[in-house]
Formats: sequence, structure tokens, C-alpha cells
Amino acid sequence: MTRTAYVAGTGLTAFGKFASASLGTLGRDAGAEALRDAGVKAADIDLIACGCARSGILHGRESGVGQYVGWELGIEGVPVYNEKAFCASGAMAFNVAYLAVSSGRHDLALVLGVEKMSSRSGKGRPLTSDGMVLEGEQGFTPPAYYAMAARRHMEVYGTTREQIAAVAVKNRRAAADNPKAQYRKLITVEDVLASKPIVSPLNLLDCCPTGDGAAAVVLVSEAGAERLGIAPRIEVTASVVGSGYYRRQDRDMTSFALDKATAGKAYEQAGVSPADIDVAEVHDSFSIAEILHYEDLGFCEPGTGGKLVQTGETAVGGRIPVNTGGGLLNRGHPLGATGVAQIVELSDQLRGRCGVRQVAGARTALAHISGGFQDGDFATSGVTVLSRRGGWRDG
Amino acid sequence: MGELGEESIGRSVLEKDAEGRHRLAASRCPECGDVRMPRRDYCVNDGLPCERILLSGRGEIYEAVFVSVPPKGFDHRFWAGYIDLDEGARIFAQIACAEDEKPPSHGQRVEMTTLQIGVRAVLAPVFTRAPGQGERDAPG
Repeated sequence: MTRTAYVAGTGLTAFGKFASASLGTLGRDAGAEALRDAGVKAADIDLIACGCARSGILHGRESGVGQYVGWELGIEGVPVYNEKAFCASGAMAFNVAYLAVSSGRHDLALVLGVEKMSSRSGKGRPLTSDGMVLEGEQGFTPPAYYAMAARRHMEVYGTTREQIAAVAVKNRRAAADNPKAQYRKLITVEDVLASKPIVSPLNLLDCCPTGDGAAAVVLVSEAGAERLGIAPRIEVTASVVGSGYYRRQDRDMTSFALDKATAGKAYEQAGVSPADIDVAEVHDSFSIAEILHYEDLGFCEPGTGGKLVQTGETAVGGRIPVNTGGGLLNRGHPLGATGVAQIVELSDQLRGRCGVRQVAGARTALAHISGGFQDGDFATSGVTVLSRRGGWRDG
Repeated sequence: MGELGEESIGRSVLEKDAEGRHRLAASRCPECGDVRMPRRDYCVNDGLPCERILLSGRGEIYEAVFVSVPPKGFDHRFWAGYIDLDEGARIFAQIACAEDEKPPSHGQRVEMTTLQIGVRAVLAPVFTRAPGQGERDAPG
């Protein structure tokens, strides 16, 4: 029988470029904050799940990042699961911890997501496409993939360049109110359109940055919460991950079966529909991605994602605010940290802790992330649904 | 130097035919006819061993983009995109387009040639548009 898992506490470092930080210190700072927030001690943790995508190629630490951070925090003698799933590494770690707690095997899990991309001791590059190595030999890059999707969406649905740029502008507006975001200075559609061309039609301000950062979440079972005398309010009502549908070669790049599948399973598991979502974190590694994902997540009809963002419906104060922390585009995208940072932002929203970017009365939240490529499709997709239990004054 | 695929997947994706021309090396399932490039040993649909075939090199552009910031290993800008080959495989490749030609676009017919690409001068399939599809813009 599946048990309920709760988010008991969260922690997040600032995202940016920090020369003196290491994977260990970044993870430690986020982890310690999450433990304090949950009101638990390091010794209470009975499992660690850690997402980190590039530790091997950038820092010569292919395995054991979760152990490294646990060592910093003084967590010993517990199972440690290290997850590598491209941009979805943190989401995969969250899913593993959720499975462990909801199955009844573990009561108190620390989920970590960490990445350090601004400097490296290894020879690797921060962004490569492990699942597209043959394409990489010919100059393939992630922005090229999303640029192709953008061109298809523009041609098929009439989505405009200004609508695509509006995603970057909206998410920068949100990041301006998030002190931990990497880029916070307000920008305009004109700024996006005038920024350096990367891959047509995407410009520099349509692309997420690289950086350093860590996020952490404490997951607890009801039994664990009772034993420790804590009363968490954020229930994990769905955590679903899936791999791509690689066989299909005539893929329509305006819509992705993988994200539709994970979203559909998550809505079913949580017993909610897209109309129930009050606030969402949506993978926006490139501005066009958020528009594509709106549609696959069911936030709007196919082809209307551009209009959704242009009319302000996904801004703070709109019908369904998306990326209230700034998104990958502006909070930043230290790969392994992002999937967990999304949970931190949504938990803060459901706990009413987001200050000026708070979505009033938010009770149900959804996080979506894509991870990497394999043979022309996304390699990973993850969707999480969180729901607030109890009244607003319970903290 | 070398041929595309040797560094990334351990074998070239090009193979010479009886006339000595470079062709795309692919696989086909004898049961369902599924065609894949690069070659698969076993069919992804039914698990049967695949036969080795060479492709015509003809197809049409699914989508193409102009890469303004060349990634590491490339020293100049280029067009690239997904090509839907006539035999059913979709592949990523560079697309030839001079600066005064119209940009490549969805649905245009293309044909494969081989060119050395990137700073390593790797021999790779590069697609050119059929006559009339990439014609120059009118002067002025």
C-alpha cells in the first residue's frame, strides 16, 4: 500500500557563478537549510537521493556526489542514490526518494540537487548532448533542437517571435523578485529580439545560462513526521518520470508524446486536472520550450501557448502563473539542482513564503522538467504534483 | 580527417557502393521494413536481426536552422536540420546554403553529397536542395 509522502522542509542556495564553492559545499548549504526548515537533524535522515549531471566530466567525480554532500552534512550509514538524467537529474532524485518513502521502506529522505558549471577540473564542457553524439559531430546543440521546434510552431500555428520572447521577459520579471535568481535585471521583448543570435530564431536572452547552485528537500512519511513531532503540510500527490519514445521517426516537434504521457499519469495519480493547477514550474531551458510544454501539460489548447504567455495568463497575477522563481532562464540552470529547485519554489508558494511573487491562495502546484535527448526525442520527462493540506495559518 | 561516426559511435555512417560513391549506411527490418540510420543490429519494433542497406540520399527537409554561434569543433556558421529520407529514416545533418540563397525550409527536396565539415574536416553527409528550391533572391 502506498503511503503519503510530505515535503517537510526545503533549502536553496543562490544560483550563479561562485568560484570558491564546490559540489560539497553547495549541497551542504542547501541540505543544512532544508534540515533546519524541516526541524530535523542530520542523524534523522535515513536515505539520500542526489541529482548531479556533470560531476564526472567537469570535476572528475563520476560517482558519489550524494556521499560527498552527506559527508559534509554528517549523514552516515544510509543508502545513497546518485541520479544522472541530464537536466532532470534532480527530478529523478526526487522521484527515487518519493518511491522510497511512499513504499514504506524509508521515513525521512534528503533529496539533493547540485551542480557546479562555472569552473571545472576535468576537460569536459558544461553542456553536451550525451544522447546525440553523432549529431554532435555535425554541430548539433540543444538550442538548435529547440530552434527547429520554434520554427515548426511558428509555421504550423502562427506563433510569433514576440510571443516566444515574452516567455523570457515574463520569467525575468519573476526573477527580479527572487533574491536567489542568477539574472534579475528587467528586460523587454525588444532586448530579447536585439540580443546576440544563437540559432535562428533564438537569441541569447532566449537561452538559459550555466551556473552553480544546489537545492534540497526533506521528504517524510506520516509515521516519520509523528515520530519526530513535525507537521508537514505539503503532500506529494504525484511523482512521475518517463523516458522518450525514440522509435517514432516522423516526430512532430510542436508537441511531445513523452511530456503528454508523464503529465497524464501525474494528473491521474494526483486526481487533478490541468484546471486545478494554481502555480507551475515548467522547463524553460529555451523560451520556446515553455510554450510547447504549456500545451503538452494541458494548460491551453495546442497552438495557443504563445497567446497564453502574451496575454499574461502565466505571469504572477494571471490565471496560471508559471516559473514564479524565474525559471531555468533566469533563476539559472545548474543542471542537477533545477529539478529540486522547482520543488523548493512550489513548496514555498504552497506555504505562502514567496513575498511579492506569491500566488495568492495557491493549493495545488505542478513541476515539469525535460532531461536531455536520445535519438531525436527527449530522454527524460518528470512531472510532480504537490498539494497543500490544512489551513493557511498552519505554516 | 576521418568519416562521420567514427569518433562518436565507433563506425562510419558512410559506405561506398559498387560505383565507388559514398552512400548512407542503414539497416532495414526484413519483417516490418523499418529503416534506421545509423544502422541497428536488431529491429526496434520486433527484435529481429536487420539487413544492411544503402540509402538513396534523397529526402525532404523537416526543419532547418541557421547556427550563428558555431559549437566547439566548428569555426564558421552553418545551416543544419532534420532530413526525412525517402526510405523513412529521419537524420540530423548540415544543409548547404550560400549567403545569397533563400534559407532552407520545411518540405524542400534535398539530396545528399559529402563534404568535410568542422575543424577536424570530417567527411559527412551534407544535403543540397533540388534545383529551383534554393534559388537566389532577386538582386536589389
